[in-house]
Amino acid sequence: MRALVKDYLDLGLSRRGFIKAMAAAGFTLTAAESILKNLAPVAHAETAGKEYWKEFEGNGGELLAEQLLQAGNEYLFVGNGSGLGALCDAVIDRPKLKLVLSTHEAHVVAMASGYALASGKTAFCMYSRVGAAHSTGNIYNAMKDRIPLVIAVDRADTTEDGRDGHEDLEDMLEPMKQYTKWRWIPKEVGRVPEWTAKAFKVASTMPCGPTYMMFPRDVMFESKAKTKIFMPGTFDVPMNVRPNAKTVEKTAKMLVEAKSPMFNVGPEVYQSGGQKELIELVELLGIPTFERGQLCQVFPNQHPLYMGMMRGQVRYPQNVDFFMNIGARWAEADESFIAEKKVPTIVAGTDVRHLGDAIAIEHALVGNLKESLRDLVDAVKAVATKDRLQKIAQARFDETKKFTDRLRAGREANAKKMWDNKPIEWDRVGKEIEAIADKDAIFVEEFGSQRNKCMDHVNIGYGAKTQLGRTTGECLGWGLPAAIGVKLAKPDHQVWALQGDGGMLFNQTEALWPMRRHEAPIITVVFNNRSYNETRNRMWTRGKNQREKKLDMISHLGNPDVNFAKIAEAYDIKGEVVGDPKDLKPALQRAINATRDGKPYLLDVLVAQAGQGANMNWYPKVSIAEMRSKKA
Amino acid sequence: MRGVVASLIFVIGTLIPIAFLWSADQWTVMLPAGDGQQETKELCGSCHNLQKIVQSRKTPQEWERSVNDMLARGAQIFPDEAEKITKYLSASFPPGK
Repeated sequence: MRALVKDYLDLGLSRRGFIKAMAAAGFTLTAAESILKNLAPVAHAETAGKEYWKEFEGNGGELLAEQLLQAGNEYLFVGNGSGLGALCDAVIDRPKLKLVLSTHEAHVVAMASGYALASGKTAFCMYSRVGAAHSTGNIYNAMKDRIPLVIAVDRADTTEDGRDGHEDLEDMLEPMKQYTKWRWIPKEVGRVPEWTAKAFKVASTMPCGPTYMMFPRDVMFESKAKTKIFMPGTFDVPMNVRPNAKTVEKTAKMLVEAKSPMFNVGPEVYQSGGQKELIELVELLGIPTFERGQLCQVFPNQHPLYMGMMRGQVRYPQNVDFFMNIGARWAEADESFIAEKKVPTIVAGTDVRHLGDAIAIEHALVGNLKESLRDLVDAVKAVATKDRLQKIAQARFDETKKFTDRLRAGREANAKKMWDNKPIEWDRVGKEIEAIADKDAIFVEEFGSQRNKCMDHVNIGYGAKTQLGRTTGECLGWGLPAAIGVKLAKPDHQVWALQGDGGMLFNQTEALWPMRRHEAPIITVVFNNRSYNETRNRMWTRGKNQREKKLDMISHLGNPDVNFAKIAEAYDIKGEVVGDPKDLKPALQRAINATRDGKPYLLDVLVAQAGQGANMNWYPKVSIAEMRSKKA
Repeated sequence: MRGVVASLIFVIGTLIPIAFLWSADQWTVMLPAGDGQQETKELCGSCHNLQKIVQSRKTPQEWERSVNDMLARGAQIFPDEAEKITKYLSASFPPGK
C-alpha cells in the first residue's frame, strides 16, 4: 500500500488506477476511497497555487543572480576575475546570496564539491575563464564522484569570441567535454535563466555531475532583457525512480534462497540517502558486506558484518552463490572470482556507466537506491516468515562475526605492538583521533593506500562518524578546500581534514587562505611521512631497476623537509609539529580547543613510511646552483 | 624419421612442461617448500602477485613489519597465520640469499 500511495502522490497513478490497484491488493472499494479522501489535502497542495514563473528585467548578472536564488542557492563559491563583476554587482542587492572566496580555481571547485557532498544540494561556483584550466583537476574529480555542481566562468564579449584572442581560445568548451555532463555559452541575455535552470537540472539529476557555462561579458554587464525566472520546484527532476516490481521480487527470492550471499556497496547508496535501508537489508539476512570506503564510508566499518575492501580472491564468505553490487563502481572492486566461479550477479543503482560493466549479470535493479533497498526489504519480508529470516540471519551473523572479530583482534594487537614507535604509526594516529573526536565528527580524507591503517581504527559509517573522500578520481589537491565546503554545510559538526604531505603539496597549502578568511574551525592533520609512499611502493613492486638498485627516483619528499605548521602560521593559523607519539594526544586536544573557539588548527604529524624502499633519503640530485659558472 | 621422433620427444619432454610452468603464476612456483608456504601462497597471493616477495631479501624484523603492514591495510589474515608467514619468509628470503 505504501508503494501505491507514493505512486499516487507522485502523480504517476490516477484515482481510478489507485482504486483498481488497491482492489487487486485485497482492499475494499470503501477502504480505497477513504484513503484517497485522506490523501486529498496532501495531493492537491502539491499543485494548488503553484507559481511557475516570475517576470524580471535586468542584465545577465542580475538574471543569473535571480535564477540562482530560485535554485535555492545561499552560497556562491567564487574566485577572483573581472568577468565576475556583473554577478558581484547583483549580489550586493541580494543579501541572501553570500560569496565564499578562494584564491585558486581548483579550490573553488573543491569547496563547492565538499558543500554539495555534505549537504546533498547542488552547488554553484564561478571564476575567471583563464582559471578554468587550473580547475580541471577537481572538475574531473567531481565528474568521477557524480557531484552535482554548476560551474560558470566568464567569456570574451560576443563580438570578439572565437578568435584565439585575449584570454581566449577558439573553442573553450571542448576541453571540458570529458569532465562535465553538459556545457553551454548563453549568448542571448533573455535566456540566461533558462540555461541556468537547465544547468541545475542536469547537474542534480542522478547520476549527478558537473555542468559548465561560459557567460560572455557583454551579456553579463550590458545586455538587458525582461524575461521569466523559473521558480523553485519547476526544474527539478529528482529521478527517485523505483525499480521494476517483478525484478525486486525475483531478487528477494534469490536473496532468501542463497546459502552464501555477499554484497559490495558504494557511494551511490550515500548519494541516494539509502544507508538506513541498506543496513536493514544486510541485517535482515546477515549478509557479509564489502566496501572500499572511497568518497564516503556507507556501511559502518565496526559492524560485525563489515568485510572491508573486496579484493582478489575473497577468503570469506566461501562458496558464494549470490553477489549483489549496490551502488559501487566496478572499478572499485576486484570481481575476478565472481566471474571465475560464475556467481549469479545482480547490480543496483542508476549509474548506467557502471551497471553491468566488466561482468555478465543476472539482472539489474535500475532505480534510486533508497527506493530499491526499501522495496527489497519489503519484498524479502513478504517471501519469508519472520522466524525463517531470523534463523537465516542469525547463523550467518554469528559465523561472520567470528571471522571479523579475529581479524580485528589481529589489527588491534598489531597497533598495540607498534604503539610507541617513532616515527608515529598511522594506526596510533587513528586510534588517538577516535578516542578524542566528537561522536558526530566528519572526516574529509585524501589518503592513498595507507588509508586503512588510520581509518580502520575510527568508527565511521552510517550511525557513527562520517567519512567523506578520497575522491574516486584521486586527483590530489581536493581535501582541504573540500573540508571548508563540508564545514559550511555542517557548521555544528567537528570537521577534520586528513591529508598526506604529498597531497598537501598539490597546491593545498593555499587552501589555508579561504580557511582563515572564512574562519572555518577545521582541524587539519597532515600525515607527514616525507614521501609519496604509495607511488614508491607500486613502482618498486612492478618495476625492477629502482628496486634492485635501491634508488628512489621520484618519491622522496624529505628535502626540503617542509614544516607545514610554519606554512599555517603564514596564513595566521596556529599549528604545531608532532614528532613524539606521547605528544600526539595533547596536541589533538589543543587542536580541538582551538576549533571550539572558532579557529582552524593544523597538526603536522611525522608518521612512518612503509613498504618497499621505506626510509630511504636518497633522491637524484639536480642542483641548478652547481651548474653555474659564476655567482649569478 | 628418427630426427622427427627425436624432435617430438624433445618438444613433449622439455618445451611443454616449461610452457606449463610459465603459464602458471611464475612467482608462486618460486616459493620454496616449507612450513608457511601454503599460507603465503594463498593469503598473500589472494591480494597481490608474489613478485614483491620472491624478489625481496629482508631481516626477520623487516619481514615482520611488512606482514604487519599488510594486516594494518586490511589483509584478511589472522594473527597466528601472520606469525607463520613471517617465520617462513624470514627463513626463505633472508638478506644475502
